[in-house]
Amino acid sequence: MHQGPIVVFKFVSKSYGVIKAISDIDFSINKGEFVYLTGASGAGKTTILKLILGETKPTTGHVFFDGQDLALAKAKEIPFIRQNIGVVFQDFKILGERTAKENIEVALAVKGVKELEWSERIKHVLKLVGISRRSTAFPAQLSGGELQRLSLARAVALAPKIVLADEPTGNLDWETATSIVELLHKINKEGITIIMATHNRVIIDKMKRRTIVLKDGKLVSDSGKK
Amino acid sequence: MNLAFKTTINYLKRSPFQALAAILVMGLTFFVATLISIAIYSSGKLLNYLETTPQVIVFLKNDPNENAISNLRSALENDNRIKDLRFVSKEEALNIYKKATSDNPLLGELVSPSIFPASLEFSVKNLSDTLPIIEEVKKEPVVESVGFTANLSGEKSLGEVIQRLKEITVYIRVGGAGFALFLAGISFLVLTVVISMRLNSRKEEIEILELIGATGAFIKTPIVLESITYAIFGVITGWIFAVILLLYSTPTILIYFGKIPILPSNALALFGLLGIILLGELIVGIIIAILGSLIAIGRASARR
Repeated sequence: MHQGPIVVFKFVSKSYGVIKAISDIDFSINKGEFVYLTGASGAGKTTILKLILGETKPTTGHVFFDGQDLALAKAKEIPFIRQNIGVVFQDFKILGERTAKENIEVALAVKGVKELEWSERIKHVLKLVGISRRSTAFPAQLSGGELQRLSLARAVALAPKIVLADEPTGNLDWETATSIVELLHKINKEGITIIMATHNRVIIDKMKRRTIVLKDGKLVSDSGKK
Repeated sequence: MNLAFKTTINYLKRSPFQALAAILVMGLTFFVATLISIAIYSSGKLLNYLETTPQVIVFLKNDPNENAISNLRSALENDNRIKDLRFVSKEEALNIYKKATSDNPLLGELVSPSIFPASLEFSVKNLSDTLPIIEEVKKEPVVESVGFTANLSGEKSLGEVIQRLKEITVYIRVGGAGFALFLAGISFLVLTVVISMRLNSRKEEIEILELIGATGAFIKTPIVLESITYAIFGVITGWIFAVILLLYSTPTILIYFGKIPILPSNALALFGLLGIILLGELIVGIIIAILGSLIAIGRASARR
């Protein structure tokens, strides 16, 4: 299943002025892996996800995504790199004035998928996340769990190489949170790499996957490190 | 592209009053621009008419030598600064007088052809050649006097007439173009402000699109299309109102200017002229829209 690294951090540090968000982070994640990124608030989880997304550049060190050094990527290349990354956020980040189906359509249009393929893909991902019957609903008509499922559907529709989930269960009740995590595992079984940032120890302990623990911007443990 | 158009329509539907304000400001600009374009066209035609209408009348002495007249006539015919040369006999001069005084026939009855001098009438191709031609013709022995028909606002000398005509044309062209440019500047500012407001209200949407990998072109296209939509509707609105005003006032204009063809003589040619104006305005409007929206996008990106 593992076919070499998709994300590599080589002694990466990131500072915002005098504040050091992360310091000397060094790890790699293989294709097809499911990795939890955990730590208290402010430990540096979101900074790591932002570095992978190319939202910010490392102060020192190198971040590689699928072999490409993101520190050297030009601003114009970033959107094309992101088209291979699915994103899921705590606050869902769904387009409020578009229906569930239209939200996925926009993502497909962004990636340049032919319109002929849209219907099939949308049907597949909505079924995968279990909201097939809510395709014409607007975000205001969806529950928190459904919004997160839609966010996942949008991420998966792009057939990404990796899905970054930043506290995807943060705004959800326990039952819904569990179902979202199970869904992420289901997506991972389709071969998509998942990095999920969470501070929810119960979920991590229950699912038993590779876990990278951060504290004050430093990597304190990595269960996948040999 | 289909999605970009759909998004543009959504944007327009979301804030119809902003859209209406932008369209009306553009409409006002292009309403004035259409009228100025017509005024520039008409002033050109008026100047051309004045330059080519018989302006110089050479009054001949009472008992002229036929040979001398013939020589003068052929000399004028061969002069390439002159056109439309015409000989007016004493009898023709009387008829012209009778026609001019037709509202009082008694005046026509009291005169005979003998009191009217025969004359040679001609136009000059370029108004500025008039003065030297008149000076040359005055030296001919058969010439009694030379008259110049153009007269605007009581100018006394020919030089003043020429100068005055040129000034009027420059006022219309430069003044009109300047005013249209000023209005175009206002439209540009209004469009930039409206688009900036729109971008501000779409901040979150743009952020989401950027996160899922939308390129700059993908994000900008609906915004630029929205701006172009304002411009197209604004141009068409302004043009339609100007055309309605023109058609409404055409009879009055035609009566006022008489035989001076300041507007095209038939409907097809008139609408051809209006069509060219519309096309030009659409091009200018679209350029304003593209520049305005790109500047608004640039400013919004710099703020983020």
